Amino acid sequence: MPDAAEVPTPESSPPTPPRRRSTALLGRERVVVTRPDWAAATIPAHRKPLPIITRAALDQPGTAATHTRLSGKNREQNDGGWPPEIAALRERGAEIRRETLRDLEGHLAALTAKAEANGVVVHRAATPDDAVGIITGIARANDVRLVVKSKSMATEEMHLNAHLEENGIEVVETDLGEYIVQVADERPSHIVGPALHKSKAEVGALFEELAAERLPQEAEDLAAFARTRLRADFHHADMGISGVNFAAADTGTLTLVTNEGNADMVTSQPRIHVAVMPMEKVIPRLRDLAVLVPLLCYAATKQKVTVYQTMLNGPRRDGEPDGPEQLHLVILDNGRSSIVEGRYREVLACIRCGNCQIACPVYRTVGGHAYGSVYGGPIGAVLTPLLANTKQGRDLPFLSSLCGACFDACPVKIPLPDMLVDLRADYEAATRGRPRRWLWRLWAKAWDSPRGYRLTMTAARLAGPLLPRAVLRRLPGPGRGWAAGRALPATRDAGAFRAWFTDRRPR
Amino acid sequence: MTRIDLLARFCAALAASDGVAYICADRAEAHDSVVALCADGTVTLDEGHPDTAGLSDRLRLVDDPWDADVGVTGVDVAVAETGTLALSWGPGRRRSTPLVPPVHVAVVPLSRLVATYADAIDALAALDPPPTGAQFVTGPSRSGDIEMNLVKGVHGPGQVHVVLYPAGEIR
Repeated sequence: MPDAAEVPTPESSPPTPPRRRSTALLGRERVVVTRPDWAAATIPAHRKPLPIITRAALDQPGTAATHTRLSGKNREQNDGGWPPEIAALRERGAEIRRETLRDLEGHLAALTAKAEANGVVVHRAATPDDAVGIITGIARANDVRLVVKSKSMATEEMHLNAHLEENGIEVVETDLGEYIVQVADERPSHIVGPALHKSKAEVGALFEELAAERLPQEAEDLAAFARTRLRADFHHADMGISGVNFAAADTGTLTLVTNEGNADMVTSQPRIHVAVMPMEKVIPRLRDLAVLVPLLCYAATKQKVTVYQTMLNGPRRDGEPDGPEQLHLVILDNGRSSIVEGRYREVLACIRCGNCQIACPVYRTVGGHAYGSVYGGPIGAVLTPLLANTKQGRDLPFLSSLCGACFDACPVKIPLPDMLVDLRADYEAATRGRPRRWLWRLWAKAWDSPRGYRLTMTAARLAGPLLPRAVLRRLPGPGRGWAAGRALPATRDAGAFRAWFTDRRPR
Repeated sequence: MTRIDLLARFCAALAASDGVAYICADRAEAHDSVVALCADGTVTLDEGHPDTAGLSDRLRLVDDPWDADVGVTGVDVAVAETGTLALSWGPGRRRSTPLVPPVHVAVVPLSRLVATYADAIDALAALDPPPTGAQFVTGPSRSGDIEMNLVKGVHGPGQVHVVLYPAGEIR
């Protein structure tokens, strides 16, 4: 990227102000990107089939260690279920979220009116591209060169960072985990813990590449390295972009829930703040925070409350010594206004705690990146196929064992397992062709009778030796891709159990 | 619940979040303690808060919070249940004071203790006119993003000190 400050300016033109560059990202070009393409910050437009990705994910170094860490967190987080006082909050939280969804547009209209009265500029974005246009427009109009960002999954839906960079605007993720994955050119693997898949040693190696020097390797040292670099950017950035955890319709208050304090920096230090929320983040009343904040915090990290809740009503007023001069709120739809009308409405009750991901044995085993989507885990497997801009990912509901742990782990009682089953049925109805349907019918008919069942077993046993074991690898064309993550059942032994059982049955 | 019960619960909750509580006999002793906690460091002070009135002459004040070693604030309310401090913003009560310097010192008369987190939300909702915003803070900044190791003082202050004192009668 050309640096404007280094270009000699002719005498006649006005002096170029010194360009504000990120300190945190200095040396980024030195980092050798080693991640597979399906873990990239920007998801490839044509990703490989799921069986290929999940197979490759299992073979990645580090996947087993991540599984161990996540399993430990799951035991800590979910063993013993919900304690009574949190169970009561869970009932109330589930009801508040459903109350919101029964009149989503009404609550959004109230929020908009209140926020505008508070001096907030409210933008509605139907698509991720619209949102990108709005945000880059704000940046351009205000000559923004450096943006500091705190966690926002909604901005991941629009690949905002890549778009801003294309426009010559530097963007720095400031949540420690987000900073780690940004430097590694990856996307978050978990909603709350973006770098849960990285070991301390991996983070250390990454930061040493960035710094081009040896660094002390304790977690405190690595965090201090990031802190020092990011502080410079907090101080000098022109614009802050944040997510929103809850937006209260009755007061227009935007609430952010964090532990590090980066959201407080991002929303208070730069002269412009842009908050981005998907439309379901609205809640009816400010008072609902008394239920939803402790519920979110317990579900996400088992804390009573996180260290910071940042509550924003509007930009700075006359007489106030600090705070942004402009506060913009971008409300993203991306298919949600259709979801709320349909039978999967409840998925929008989600408060993004990430506990269903931790609770999911499939997620823990393959990791968040293997879903090949912005949102991984059970919530991702349900939400992704429903979002408007997701052409791929309709097969994600199959990446589940349907064990039901995600429902038990959900603080707002979203029936994720039922939705996964229904979405599988939708997928089958939408994709299966006539020959496939005919084959299923034939199979069903054959196994309707004991005789048909025995016949297929015998046929399979006899056919087994005729099929070379490598047959799947020799399939032509697209069939080979499909087969790469799969194995043939051992049909040589078909019916062996029945024979064994018949032999032992007392006569 | 009496003030003393609230105080005991607040101190326990704050300690659980790695904050430090100091219990003083009166306002004068509380202010002495604040001065001692700031030692010789540079300070930004929220002069717009009644509970900090009288402190400015005794501290090494700097204008820019980015140059300060310590940020000294009052609070709207402090929550016994969670150890949370609620700070609303306005003239003389800036966003940066409890955030940018590496140490935060808060002055809290016992009259500002409330029992529950819900009470603090109510107190915020009751402000008229509503402030431009508020920060709720419970202990020092922390992160678990590197292999779930707990690290303190990532972006916000690494130390939070709360100086408490009785204001008026104690029941």
